[in-house]
Amino acid sequence: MLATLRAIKVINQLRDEGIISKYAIGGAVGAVFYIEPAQTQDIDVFIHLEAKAGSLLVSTGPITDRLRELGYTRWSEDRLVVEGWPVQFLPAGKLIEGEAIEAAVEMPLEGGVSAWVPPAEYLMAMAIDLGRPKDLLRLSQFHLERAYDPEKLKSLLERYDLVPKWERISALFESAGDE
Amino acid sequence: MKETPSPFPLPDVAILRKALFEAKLKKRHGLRQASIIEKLRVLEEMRDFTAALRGHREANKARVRSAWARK
Repeated sequence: MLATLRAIKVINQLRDEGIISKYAIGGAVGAVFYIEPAQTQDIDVFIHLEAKAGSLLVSTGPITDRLRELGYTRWSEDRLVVEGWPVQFLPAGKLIEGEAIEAAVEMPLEGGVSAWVPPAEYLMAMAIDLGRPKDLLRLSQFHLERAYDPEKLKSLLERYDLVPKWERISALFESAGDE
Repeated sequence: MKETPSPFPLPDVAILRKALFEAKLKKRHGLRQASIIEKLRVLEEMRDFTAALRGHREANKARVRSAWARK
């Protein structure tokens, strides 16, 4: 079985054990479900994480503790390496991230393993919101491959006040010319 | 000062170039229609390739530093 599938299987195990609740794979690995693969070094997993009663801080401690118990003890910067992939658990800090987790759909893979991935429009909206160079590259791929529903994207961006940002970015793609 | 041994074998530049070229070719012509599994496989290849390049670069840096230290 592919290392990525084994890593996703471990993430599903954490969910089944109640260590995390529903999750959504974002970033370049999430985008692979819609567009061509792009270089990445980790798997981004968006999760809901509540602070403990009486604390203002959220902690990914229970996740790393369980992963250590499962034998994953190697770190790559601040991420534990699971089946060769540094996995970053990202607490949904923005409304759009929380909504992306709720909207995530099950993507059946191989050997009974499924991954939960947000619809393409959510991945795009999160990339528009962040607007880093790598997000622009990913957005250009979504744009070139027509890998999204423009109407769904528009309504999502309107709700999060991201239309002006998207107009600026998509104008860049138009001026650069399509393939 | 002793030279720091590289944890990565130094890949031949021609082999790296060929691999990069093939990856680009694959990306351009095959992957839009590829299955998710195939795309995930390519993602892993790209990750490993970048890690090897990074190791190669770090090993080179260490060699240069060590050469300067010997002077």
